[in-house]
Amino acid sequence: MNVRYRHIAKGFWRLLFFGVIFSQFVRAQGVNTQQVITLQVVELNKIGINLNTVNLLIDQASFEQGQPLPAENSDGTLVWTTNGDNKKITVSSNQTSPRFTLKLIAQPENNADIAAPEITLNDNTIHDLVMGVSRRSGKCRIRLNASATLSDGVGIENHVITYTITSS
Amino acid sequence: MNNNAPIFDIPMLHTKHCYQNLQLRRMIFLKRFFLFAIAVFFFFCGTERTYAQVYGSASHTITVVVNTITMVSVSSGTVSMTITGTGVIAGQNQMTVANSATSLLWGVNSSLKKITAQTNLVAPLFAMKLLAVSPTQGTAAPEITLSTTATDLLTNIGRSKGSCTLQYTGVALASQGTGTDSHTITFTVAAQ
Amino acid sequence: MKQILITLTLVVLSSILIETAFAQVTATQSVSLTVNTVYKIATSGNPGALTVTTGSAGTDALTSVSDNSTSYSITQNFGNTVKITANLDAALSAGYTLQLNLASSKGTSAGSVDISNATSGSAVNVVTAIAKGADASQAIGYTFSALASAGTLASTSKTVTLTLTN
Repeated sequence: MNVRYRHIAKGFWRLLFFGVIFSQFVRAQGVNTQQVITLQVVELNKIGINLNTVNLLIDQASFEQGQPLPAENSDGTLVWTTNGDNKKITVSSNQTSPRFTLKLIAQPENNADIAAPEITLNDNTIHDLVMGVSRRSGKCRIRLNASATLSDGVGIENHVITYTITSS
Repeated sequence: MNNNAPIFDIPMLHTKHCYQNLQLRRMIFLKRFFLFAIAVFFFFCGTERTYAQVYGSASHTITVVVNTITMVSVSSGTVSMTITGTGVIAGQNQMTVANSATSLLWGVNSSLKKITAQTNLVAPLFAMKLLAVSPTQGTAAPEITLSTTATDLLTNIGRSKGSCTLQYTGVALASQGTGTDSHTITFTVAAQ
Repeated sequence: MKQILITLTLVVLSSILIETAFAQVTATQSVSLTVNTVYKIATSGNPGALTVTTGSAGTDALTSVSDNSTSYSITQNFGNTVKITANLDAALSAGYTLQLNLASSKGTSAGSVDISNATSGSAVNVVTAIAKGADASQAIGYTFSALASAGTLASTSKTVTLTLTN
């Protein structure tokens, strides 16, 4: 037989052999099944403060200033989480006309959160505390400062301070 | 008139008495007619006897012997079954395939026979079951699993012919993997 | 002489008849049974909606939700190296995670596998080394979680494909 024809014949048989092997391989492939799953994430806004109770005690005075020294607390941490857009955090007190002065300032850990300047809670109006809150969780330290003048006298005032995530 | 006289004597009487009266003539006429009728009768009867009486005769004894006849055959010599996965339910290990395309035919002229079935495959990979469906004669045994031991397929086969559908069921477990079993099934008519 | 010949002929014919009759006492039939490769996989249905509805303040990762209400069954006779892969019809957006966990009594479960980015070209193994046989009503577990930073997600249908393959 001509060498060329012999090569052609060999090639044919090899092709046939691998064709059969490949067809078996293809036939051995598996089957599948499907499931349809429905995914959803609803908008949610969560906010919390770690200190439920804060006592600010004014019991000292400055001879130099001639006034009682203010009392401060920075132990509070405000945390929040939102997956919505364009939110802000507001703060308000339930005291409509307090005798003593209570100020609050937020110190965000994330630069993206824009904290308002020091807020004086001398009425029960709502004040913006943190702006530009969108799709993230955040945290800020809450510094409370209570002060009184001698003329304010003595007494006890209870503030219920409410932090709220709301649309900006 | 002498009644014992031979018949051929009548002409002589006729000569002797010369026909003297009419009554005598009538009697003669009747006698002749009677003789003629007898002659005609014996003529025709004699013709039949003439043919039966050939030149010789012979006889022989025929013995009919009917031996025991037993026949069994299948409508087709080949049955192929393949489990391809069609109809297989996910989660079930057992997979089956059935074939009822062939028939078994038999004929016996003796009583109380049975038909057994067996395979030549000593160690099949998969189980092969067989059932005789709707036999026209005899009693079908419950479905059998074929082995190399002859097992009753049909019983109470009597003196007649019959047929039934052969229902093969191949049973494979997925855990047994793939493969091919080639059986040669032998159907035997045996005494019950 | 003639009668003897006839008798002998009858005897011979009778013998032939008897032989013929006995030769038909058995019949044979060739029966072949071939078992091809079989792969079967099915699920019991679709899981319920996976809806993230809550989270913790201060934590980006919202509270994940799970569904274990469905199951799968398989039958295969190919070998002991068969596996199940999983993929989605389209990858999830960043910040959303879908995990799949298939129990198995015939193979090795990969546990909870993140299939969020597994598509047809990048299916992931969820069960491997499955032995020949059947495995019925094995639990399918889905866990869907989201980050708050990913935002909300309107109700979306995704198709999960489980493939039994070698």
